Amino acid sequence: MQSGDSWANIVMPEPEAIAAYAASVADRLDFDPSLSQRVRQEIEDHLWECMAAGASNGLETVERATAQFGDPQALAAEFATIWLAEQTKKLSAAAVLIVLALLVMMKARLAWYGFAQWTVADEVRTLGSVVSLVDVCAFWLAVTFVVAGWAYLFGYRAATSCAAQCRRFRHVIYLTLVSLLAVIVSVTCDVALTVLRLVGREFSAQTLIPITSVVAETVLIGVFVLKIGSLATRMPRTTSLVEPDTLRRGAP
Amino acid sequence: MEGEMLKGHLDLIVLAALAEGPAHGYAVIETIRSRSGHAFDLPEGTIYPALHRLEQAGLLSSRWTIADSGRRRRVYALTRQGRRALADRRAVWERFSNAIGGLLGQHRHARA
Repeated sequence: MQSGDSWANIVMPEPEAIAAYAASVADRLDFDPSLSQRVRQEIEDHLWECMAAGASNGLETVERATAQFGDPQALAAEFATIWLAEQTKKLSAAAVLIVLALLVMMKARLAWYGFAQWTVADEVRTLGSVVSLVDVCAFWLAVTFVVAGWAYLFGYRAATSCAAQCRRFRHVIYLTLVSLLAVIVSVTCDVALTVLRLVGREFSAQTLIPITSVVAETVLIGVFVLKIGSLATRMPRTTSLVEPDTLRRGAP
Repeated sequence: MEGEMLKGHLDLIVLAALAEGPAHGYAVIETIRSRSGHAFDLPEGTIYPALHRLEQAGLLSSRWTIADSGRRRRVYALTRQGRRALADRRAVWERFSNAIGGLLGQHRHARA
């Protein structure tokens, strides 16, 4: 990959110079193909416009215009920070919605158990109580971390540098990750509690209600895992772009 | 014009450049240059990330169009939220500008 300095020393015809500069920025954004493609086309379009409007030699015009864009690494870092901000906000919003949906489903299921007068069998009552306690603790732990992530993301004044913003987003993602682990424990407990209530009952339309609700909870968790996984796999690429020094030192 | 001063008002400048209608990045930069009497020569490396950031904040929308040259072109436009933000920032700027003008005017009168 070319740095800004080496880029300036390369002599090539105008179309190649335009394509090469656009690629030098876009290739650094390959963690999101649509962003990379968009940036490439916007830069190319801009440079061609400069060429068309330029009164002087075409190559000089392109060189002047690319100098105005600046170092490809710094420019890509700006776009990466904006991308990361958007992804972190989406992830935080998804976490809040998922935790709310889980709460509603849990409460609805408990209301259904009360209405249908389904109780846990006496021989597993103690186990049920322990699992229920773990469930409640894990769920409220998840809520605490989701709220903490949300407050950290929106409560702080925006940092000025890309690196500082990137660090903040990484911390929010860590908080969301902890809430995901707590939610996984909570949903696992929900599945166990549902199994304890269903043991010994005939399969019927009534049993479908709690089964459907725990399946829905599991699907929600799957969505949550996919969202975090997708972001986590692309994080090192954005971090190396925005915080190259942090990676060399070893990220905290 | 001082770079840091310009950066502090970057969002207002970009929103104002799009107030008259949708435009692509190159046209936004040209509008800023010409309407400021060439006082604001903001580099492309500042404007394009600002356009992306303002779009993400919901103040701008964008879509691809095909230019006369046949190239794909991203065109930006103010959203309703963007128009409101521009009006708010314009009002703040006018209050600030009047206040500074008053202060500088007072100072001039005091010395006279």
